[in-house]
Amino acid sequence: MKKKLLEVNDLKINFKTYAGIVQAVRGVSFELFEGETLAIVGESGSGKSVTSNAIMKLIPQPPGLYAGGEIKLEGRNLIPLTEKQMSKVRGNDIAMIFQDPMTALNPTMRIGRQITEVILKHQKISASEAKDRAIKLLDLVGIPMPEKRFKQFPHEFSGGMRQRVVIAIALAADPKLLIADEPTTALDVTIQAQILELMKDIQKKRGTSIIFITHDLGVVANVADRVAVMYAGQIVEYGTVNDIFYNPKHPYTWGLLGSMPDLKNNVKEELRTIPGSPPDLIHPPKGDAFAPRNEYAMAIDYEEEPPMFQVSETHFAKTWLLHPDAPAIEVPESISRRIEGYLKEAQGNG
Amino acid sequence: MLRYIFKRLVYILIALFIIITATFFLMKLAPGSPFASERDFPPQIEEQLNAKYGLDNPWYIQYKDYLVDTVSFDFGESMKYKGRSTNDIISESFPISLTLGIEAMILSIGLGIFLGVVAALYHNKFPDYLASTIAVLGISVPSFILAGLMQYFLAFKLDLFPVSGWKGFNYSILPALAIAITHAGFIAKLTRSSMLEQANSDYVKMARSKGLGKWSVVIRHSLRNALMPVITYLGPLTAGVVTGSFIIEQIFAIPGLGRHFVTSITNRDYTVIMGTTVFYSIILLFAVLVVDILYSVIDPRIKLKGAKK
Repeated sequence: MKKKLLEVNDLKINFKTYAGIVQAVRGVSFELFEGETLAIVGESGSGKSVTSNAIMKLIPQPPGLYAGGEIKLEGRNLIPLTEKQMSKVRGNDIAMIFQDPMTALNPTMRIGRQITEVILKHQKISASEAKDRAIKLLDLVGIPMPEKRFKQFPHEFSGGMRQRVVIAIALAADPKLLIADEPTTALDVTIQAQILELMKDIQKKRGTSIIFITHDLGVVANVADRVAVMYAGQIVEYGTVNDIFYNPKHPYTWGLLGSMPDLKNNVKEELRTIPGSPPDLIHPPKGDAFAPRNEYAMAIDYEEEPPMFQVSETHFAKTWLLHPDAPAIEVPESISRRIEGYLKEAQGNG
Repeated sequence: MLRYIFKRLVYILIALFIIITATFFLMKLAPGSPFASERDFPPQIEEQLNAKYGLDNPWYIQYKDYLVDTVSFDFGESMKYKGRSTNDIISESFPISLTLGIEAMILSIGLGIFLGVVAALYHNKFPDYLASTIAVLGISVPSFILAGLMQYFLAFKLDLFPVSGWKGFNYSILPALAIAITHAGFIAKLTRSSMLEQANSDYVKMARSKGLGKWSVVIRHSLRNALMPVITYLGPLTAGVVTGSFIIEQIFAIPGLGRHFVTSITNRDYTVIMGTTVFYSIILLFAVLVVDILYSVIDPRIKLKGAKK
C-alpha cells in the first residue's frame, strides 16, 4: 500500500467581492498517494486553480477566506500554519508549475539565480554547490548548454525552454508534491507533448506526486492515474483514468468527453458542446448545480443536491442518476462509441 | 554601448546649439539692458559700456561671439558684478547647489520608494493610508510653505536645525527635505501603483511559491521591476530639483547657483544668463542620458539602439 501524501477534506474557499461572497470552492475532498498523478479537470471558473492555489496557501486573504475543511500534507493540516511556517512548506514540500512560462519568470533576474535562490532558501549548502545543482537541474529538464544558459535572462529563452526552466525551479528543492496548473496551455502542441513527456519522466525518476490541473481531457489520459472532474466548485466525478474514460457516470463528464475532438473513432457528428454557462457562485443554485445544463435533469436535481454515489471501490460520482430509484439512462450513443474505440486502442497497445 | 553614448553625445550638442540660439534671441527680444538699473548716466558712458561688452555690434556678430564663448567654455565677465567672470560665479556657487541637489535627490528617492513599498505591502491597511496621506500632502503642499513651516517648528521652536545659512551638513538637511518632499510624494505614488501591479503578476506568485519571505520577494523580485516608472521620473526630478532649488536657496539664504540663474535674468546680465543656461542644460541633457542608460541596466530586455553586446 502506497503512503498517503496529501488529503484534502471538505475544503471550502470563499472570496469577498463587492457583489457578494463568491463560493469558489464548495467542499472539495480528495487524496493523493506518493508517486501518483491526480488530474483535476473542469471548465474555466470551476474552481480548479483556486483549489491548487489553496493547497499552497497562495490565496490572498482578504479577499480570499478558508471557510472550512482541511488540507493535510503527511498528516499535518496546513490551514492553521502561519506565513512563516508555510514558507518552509512552499518550494520545499510542495512546488508549483505555472500556466504561462512567459510571465512566470522574473524578467530582470538571471535564470541561474532564480533556481539557486530556492535551493539556498531550503537547504543549507554553499552558493557554489547550489550552482552545480542548478546546472544539473537544467540538464535534467533538457536544456542544452546549461552552463551558458545559467547566466542568461528569461527573454533569451523560447516558451518551451522557459517552461522547462519553471519545472527546474519547481524541482530545485526536491519537493514531494508538484502542482502543475495548466502547464501546457500556453505552449504549442509539439512543445506540449515534450513537456508532458518530461514531467512523466521526472516523476518516474524521482517519485514525485503530481496534481495536474487542466481543461484538456486529452492531456489527462496521457498523464494521470486518477481524475477528479470539477464543476461549480465541487468534484462531481472522481475515479481512476479507466473509470472516467471507460465508464463515465456523470452527465457533465459525458459532456466533456463529447466536446473533445475525436478523429479516430468514427464519430461523424458535429463536435458537441455543453449548452449554457456555469452557475453564478455568489448564489449557488439549490439542488444540483449542473441541472440547468443537464439534458437528463430530473425534478429532484432542482430540489436537492445529490450526494457522492459510489460506483466502484475507486469510482465516485455526484449525480441523482445513480440513485437506485432513478430511471436507467444509458451513456449517449456518440460517447459510447468513443469509449469502445478507447478500449480497443488500449487493448491494441496491450 | 559606446557607439550609443557617442550618438547621444552628438544629439546633446545639437540640443545645446538650439538652446543657445533660442536663449540668445529671447534675451535680445526682451527690453532693457544690463545697465538700465544704474543711475542715469550720459549716453557717452552707455556707448562706452556697450562697446566694452560688444553690445554695439550687429546681432549676428554678437551671436557669433556667444557661440565662440560657449564652445570655449569662457562666458566672459559678468555685466553686473564688475570684475567677476561668469565661470567664477558658477564654480563658486555650483558646488553648493550640487550638494543640496544630490542630498535632495537621495532623500526623495529613498523616502519615496520606502513609502511606496510600505503602502503597497500593506495595501488598504493602516500603513497604506498613512503613507498615501503623507505622499498626497507632500505633492500638494508647495515647497516654500513647507520650508517656512520647517524653519519655524523644527529650527526656531525645537532648535533641532539651524534656521538658515550654509556652514556645514547640518545646514543642508532642512532645505534638502523641503525640496525632496514633493518629489518623494510623486515617487511614493508611482512606486505604490507599480508595486501593486507587480504583486499580481505571475512571477511574484512564483517567487512566493518558492517559499521566499515577504521581504525577499519585494527586494529581490517585485521592486526592481516596479522601479521602471520611477527611473522615468528621474529626468523630470533632476530638472525639478535644479530649478526648484532657487526658491529654497532664497528662503534658507544659501549662496547657490539657483539665485544667479534667476537674478541674472532680471538684471539682463547677458553673460551670466548664457553661462547658467548652458550649464543647466548640460546637466539636464546628461541626466536624461543617464536615465536612458539606467533603463537598460535595470531591465535587461531593453537594448539601447546602436548598442552592441
